[in-house]
Amino acid sequence: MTKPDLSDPAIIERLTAALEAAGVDGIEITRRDQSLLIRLLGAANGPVRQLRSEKANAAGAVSIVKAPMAGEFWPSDLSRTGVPAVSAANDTVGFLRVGPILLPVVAGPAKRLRRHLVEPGTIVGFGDPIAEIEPEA
Amino acid sequence: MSASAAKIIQPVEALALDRNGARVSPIGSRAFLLEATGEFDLAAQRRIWALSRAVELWSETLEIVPGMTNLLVVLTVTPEDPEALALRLLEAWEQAESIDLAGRTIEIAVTYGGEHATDLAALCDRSGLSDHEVVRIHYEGTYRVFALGSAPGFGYLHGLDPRIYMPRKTVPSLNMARGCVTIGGMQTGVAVLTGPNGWNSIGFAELQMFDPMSATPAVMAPGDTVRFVPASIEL
Amino acid sequence: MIEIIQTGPFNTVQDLGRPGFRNIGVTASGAMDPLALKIGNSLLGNETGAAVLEIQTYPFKLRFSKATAFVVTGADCGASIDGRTVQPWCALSVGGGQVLELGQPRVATRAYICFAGGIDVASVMGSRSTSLRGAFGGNEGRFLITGDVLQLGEVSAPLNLPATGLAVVDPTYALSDVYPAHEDGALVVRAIPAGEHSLFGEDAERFWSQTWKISTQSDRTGYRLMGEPIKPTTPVEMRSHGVVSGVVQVPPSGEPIIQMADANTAGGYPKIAGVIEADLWRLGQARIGSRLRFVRVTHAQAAEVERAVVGFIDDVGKTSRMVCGALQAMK
Repeated sequence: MTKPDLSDPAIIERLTAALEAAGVDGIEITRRDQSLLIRLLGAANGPVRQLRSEKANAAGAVSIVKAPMAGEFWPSDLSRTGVPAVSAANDTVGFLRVGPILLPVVAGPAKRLRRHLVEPGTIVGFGDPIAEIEPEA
Repeated sequence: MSASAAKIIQPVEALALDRNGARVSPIGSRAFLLEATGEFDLAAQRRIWALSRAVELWSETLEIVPGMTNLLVVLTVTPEDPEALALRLLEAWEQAESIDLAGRTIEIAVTYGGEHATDLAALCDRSGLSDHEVVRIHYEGTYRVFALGSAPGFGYLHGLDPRIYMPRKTVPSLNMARGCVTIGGMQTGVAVLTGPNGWNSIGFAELQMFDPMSATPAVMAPGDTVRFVPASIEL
Repeated sequence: MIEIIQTGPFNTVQDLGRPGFRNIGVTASGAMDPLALKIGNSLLGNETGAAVLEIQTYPFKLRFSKATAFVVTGADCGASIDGRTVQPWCALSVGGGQVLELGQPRVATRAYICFAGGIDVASVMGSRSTSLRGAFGGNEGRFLITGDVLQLGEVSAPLNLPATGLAVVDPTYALSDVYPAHEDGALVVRAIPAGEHSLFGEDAERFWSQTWKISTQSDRTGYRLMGEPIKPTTPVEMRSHGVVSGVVQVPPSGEPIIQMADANTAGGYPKIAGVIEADLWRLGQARIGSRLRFVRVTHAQAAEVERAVVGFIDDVGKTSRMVCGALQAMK
């Protein structure tokens, strides 16, 4: 199977149209060689496209944290609702919940969370992107 | 997992069954206390010993704790129907034949009087007896271990002569030594821990009553006979 | 092996205690929050009753002498490894020389440090718990002091913990459908009326309706409560009988005492109620000065709560092994 070139404007156009049609406000595709992020901003004022295509693994680039296994994604550890987070480990970007167990997902050394890519409570599969991280300022 | 357990709040009548000289009531979810409601005597205690033997064999029994004419039964799981359990205990009580435990005879050498006999004078005042008489009455007695409890290896001894009954102190001694030979109400015993103690001390015994590293950590067992032997009398 | 670098008084080695010796006057002892102990051990793949450290005075610091895995459960005390904050209720691998530090918790009181393989002190009368009263068991029958060195047990079936660690959902949250929420700031403790309940007449109702404050005279042996005194309608003369933790006794002052993990083995005060076993861990985490209220339940309700808790603990053990296995397979 040939891989589409994610920097091809025609591909980006088609994906964007598909997103609008599906009412989805963004997509992120990460491959070993390329990554693509499409976000549709300000839907209320008509669709605004922001397209970006970039080489993955470039120094200083935004990268993606993927789910290490299937589970229910939670950005916090579910325990301290109403209580200030005393001691969330510094680089934790969220947790995968499997029954009573929470698997911490971390950004890695010198990285920080940019944004989550899934809503709290979403069931994700192995390898699904769950957060965007960027180098610590 | 149902939410109903968190909601509750209907009044629940206390379970306490009273029948044929015994009464059963719960302590928390897994423990039940059967109390003989008659006289505080050896006959009642012998039936408690018999009941202990029977209940110990029940599959749901985790632990039995014989007390003074009573028996605490701790179960392995919380019973769904506590009333049925209570009735079973009462039936076992009704069937419990008096048994006598073939206990050992333990002789305890005692130094009567002296520095540890902090309450001998008060006991003389109360009884109207001389210190020699109090001591003699105490060592001439033959005692039975009714039960162990309160502190590791402490035996409650029954058989004290009523002439030397002495109520527990309202203000306990703060640091009574292990080994003190004491009287508490109509019972006597030997202190096994140094610390606060409300019983009245009349002497001292060297015998160590408890060794956690031993296969039988407690020297005394229910049913044992105890005699106090005067090693010295310092009056 | 671990070495205690800093500790306050009253921190001890505990497991699930030594029940079975009340008949010779020996206190059961064991963790004040047995749920935290069981969950910590389950998460690590230990037997649920392995020995742990019960920490109730802070700060507390220890050094690991070689690589192992540990988890801090119970009170959230802002634990850190070499100064780096660790997630509460999260099992982590550590290397030799690393230092674990616990600070003062803001809610709850007792933290449990559980280790892969458990703490390997000698078992005395079937338990590794410290009996402070009898001065045996645990670490030489006393509380921990700086410089103490403790051995850890062998791990029979080690978990391959992920590098990120493996946490458990805080049971307060996970079991929120079986444990009632606080009411007006008061902990709700479920109890069953005990033998002398009816002797308290109208005062019995005031036992259930008022909120009680946990006094400063409270420790592992028992909690003394403060509130409007309750008294039996006629004086009661009781014969000494066996008691278990959770029994609520009413001494002549009229202010109840709840016997806790180091409960006396015998008692003679009239007892108005007994706290159900599944709620004892919440009392074990209640702070001095905090308030509580008793709520009546039946044995059937108590059994239902117990089943839910046992199910949760089983689930933690099974799922942690499954998750570790799955992560290994996907490597």
